[in-house]
Order: sequence, then structure tokens, then C-alpha cells
Amino acid sequence: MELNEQPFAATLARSLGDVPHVSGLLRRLSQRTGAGDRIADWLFKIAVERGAYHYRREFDPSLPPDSPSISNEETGVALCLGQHTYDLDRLRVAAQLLSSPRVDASHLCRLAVQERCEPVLLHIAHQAERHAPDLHPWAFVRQHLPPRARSPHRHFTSLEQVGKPHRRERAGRSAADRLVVPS
Amino acid sequence: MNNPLRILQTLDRHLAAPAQLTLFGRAALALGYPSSPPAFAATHDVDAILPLAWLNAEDQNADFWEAQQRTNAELEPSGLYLTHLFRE
Repeated sequence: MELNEQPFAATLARSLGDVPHVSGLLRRLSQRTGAGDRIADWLFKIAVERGAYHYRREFDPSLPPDSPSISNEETGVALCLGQHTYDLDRLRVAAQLLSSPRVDASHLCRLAVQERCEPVLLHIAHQAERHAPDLHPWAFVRQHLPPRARSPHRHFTSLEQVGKPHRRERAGRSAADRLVVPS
Repeated sequence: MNNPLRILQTLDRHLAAPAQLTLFGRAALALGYPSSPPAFAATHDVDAILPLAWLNAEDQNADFWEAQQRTNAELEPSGLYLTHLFRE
């Protein structure tokens, strides 16, 4: 008998008690940009170059240059994918990139549903509400992005863990508390 | 209209080579059980599981990902999509 066990990885999805999907978006971006396996680093760099200056840092100079055909919405959502290594700065830089009047909020919500990033974007949106209730696109996100519907498959179900104490953290902070605060 | 059927027919039209998907969720129920609630046929997406060996063989699945991208582009005006794909 062969077991197809996936190797343990400290991914965002795992931290949220979720199962990451195989993102066609991320695959497309990694191929189109030439970033390949370094796509997460590339997305971070591009987010900084496009305006998330607060997270400026040294990047590998061999990372491919920006690709104007890739939108800010795609870049921001791709940074929030559950398959990435758990890294709060990745979510923070996405939050800052997406906090722009030029972001198409409707397109952002559609991408979030398709790429299963609703919990992360809704968390960012609710954090933004505390500091800037009218900030675009988060006001739109709060109004129009529905929480992910509950999966009929128990091992794919995770949404209720977002906002509730994680199994390993009942005595401490919740998974949602650890997520992100937009800058 | 059976949305899962429309999504998979669109994908099939864009595929140049065979691909294997294991469906689950509302789309699977809508397609596999004629007496399933009509709401299942109104779902906007198809959830599927991809075979691990096939997924790891990147030279074998490029056609599928291209077809998936074209499917989503074609169906975008109607709000339908195929993106919730999981590995075994």
C-alpha cells in the first residue's frame, strides 16, 4: 500500500486549520514572470516596488523584473494564498498594496473567492475598519465579500477556526488575532 | 441550467489531452445524483481533486492548466469558475 502523505509545512493554510488548493493563478504568475519556485519572493518584491514601501528590504537581484500585465489585485491575492509559508509580512505587504484607490474592489472580491482567500481579506478589511472605516477597497470588501461557505467535507472545513482559538492556541491568541494589521 | 455541467463542458472543449478529475462537493452531487436538490446545480464552481502523480509531472499537465485558464476567462462574465482544485 502506498501512502501519499504530504510533507509537513508551516503554511498559512495550516496555521488557519485549512487545506490549501492548487492555485492556477500562482502557477500562471510563476511561469509568466519567470520567477518559478521563487514566486513568493517575487510577489513580495513587486508589492514593495508598486507602493508598499513600508516593507522595503534587500531582495535577491536575480529575481525577475516587474510584469505590468499582472494586476495589483492578482499580486495581492497571490500573496495571501494558503500554500505560502506562514509569514505575516507577506499579508501585511498585500494589505498595503491593495489599500489603493486604483484597486478594482469587485475584481478583488471575485479573485478572493476563486483563490479561497476570503478569510484573510475579510480579516484585513475588519482590521482596516478600526482605523479607517471608509478606506477603499476594504469597505467594499466588508460589504460584498461573503465568508466562505462551509464545505460538506469535514477535512476541508476550516472557516470556523478563523476567529476562534486555534486548537493549539486555546489558552493564547486566536489564529485571526495573529493574522495581520494593515499599515 | 446545470452550472457544473457547463463548467466541465467548457473545460473539456479547451482540453487537447485527457485529464482526470475527482469531483466532490455540490457539483459532484448535482452531476452524480439526478434527484439532488436543484440548488446544487446552481453552484458557481466545481471542486475537484487532482491525482498526485499527474500533478507532479509538470510536462504532462500544462495542457490542463492552459485549459483551466481559458475556461475561467470564458466563464467570467457568468460568474462561473474552476479554481478550487486540491491535490490528493
